[in-house]
Amino acid sequence: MNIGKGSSVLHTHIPPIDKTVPVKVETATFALG
Amino acid sequence: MGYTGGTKKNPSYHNLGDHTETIQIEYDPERISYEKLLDIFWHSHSPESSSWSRQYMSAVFFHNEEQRWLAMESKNGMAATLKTGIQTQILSYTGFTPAEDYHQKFHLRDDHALMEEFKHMYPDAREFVASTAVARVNGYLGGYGTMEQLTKELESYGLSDEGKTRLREIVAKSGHRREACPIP
Repeated sequence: MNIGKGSSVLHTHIPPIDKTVPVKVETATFALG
Repeated sequence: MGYTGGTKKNPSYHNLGDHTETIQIEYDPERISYEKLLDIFWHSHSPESSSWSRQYMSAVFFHNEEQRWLAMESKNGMAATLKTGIQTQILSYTGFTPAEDYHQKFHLRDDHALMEEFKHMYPDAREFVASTAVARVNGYLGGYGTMEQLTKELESYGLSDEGKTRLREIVAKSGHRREACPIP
């Protein structure tokens, strides 16, 4: 698939999953070796 | 992905100092609990193995007293299950330096077509890294998540029809797949 020049499938929108507004945001940090 | 736990200022991959490579997750506790993240963490590494270096040690970096308590409790539970010493450390969080762009979303960067779609959606590197859609697709490309899970979520990633077909084909062709986090 060529997403470059001439493609008709270029997207300028935000993915629906990224529009979800969190009720609360917390942070977790892990080191997996 | 980034660097945590050290004293060196402005660490980088080639000048890491005493930092450790980490992943940092922003999550909604109404949707997934810290206990569930810990459960995934313990099953995503070998807690009984000693690390060769501080760069690659295994650790939980707790952000508050509740996280510290839950991490210790889960570590004790893992020790009882494995019946062996646990090398994974429970340490206080002291800060996080994001890694260089080329270290972020490793599997997605290997797929030119899907990467181009997301770069177009998120020309800003910080927004690209923060995207849930990007994280999910990177996980599928890395061998996590089942076709059943993907089918439920695929429309939410904002991909073109070609992109969706490509991702489905990649997941279908791969062999053993590990469980993904529940949809956030």
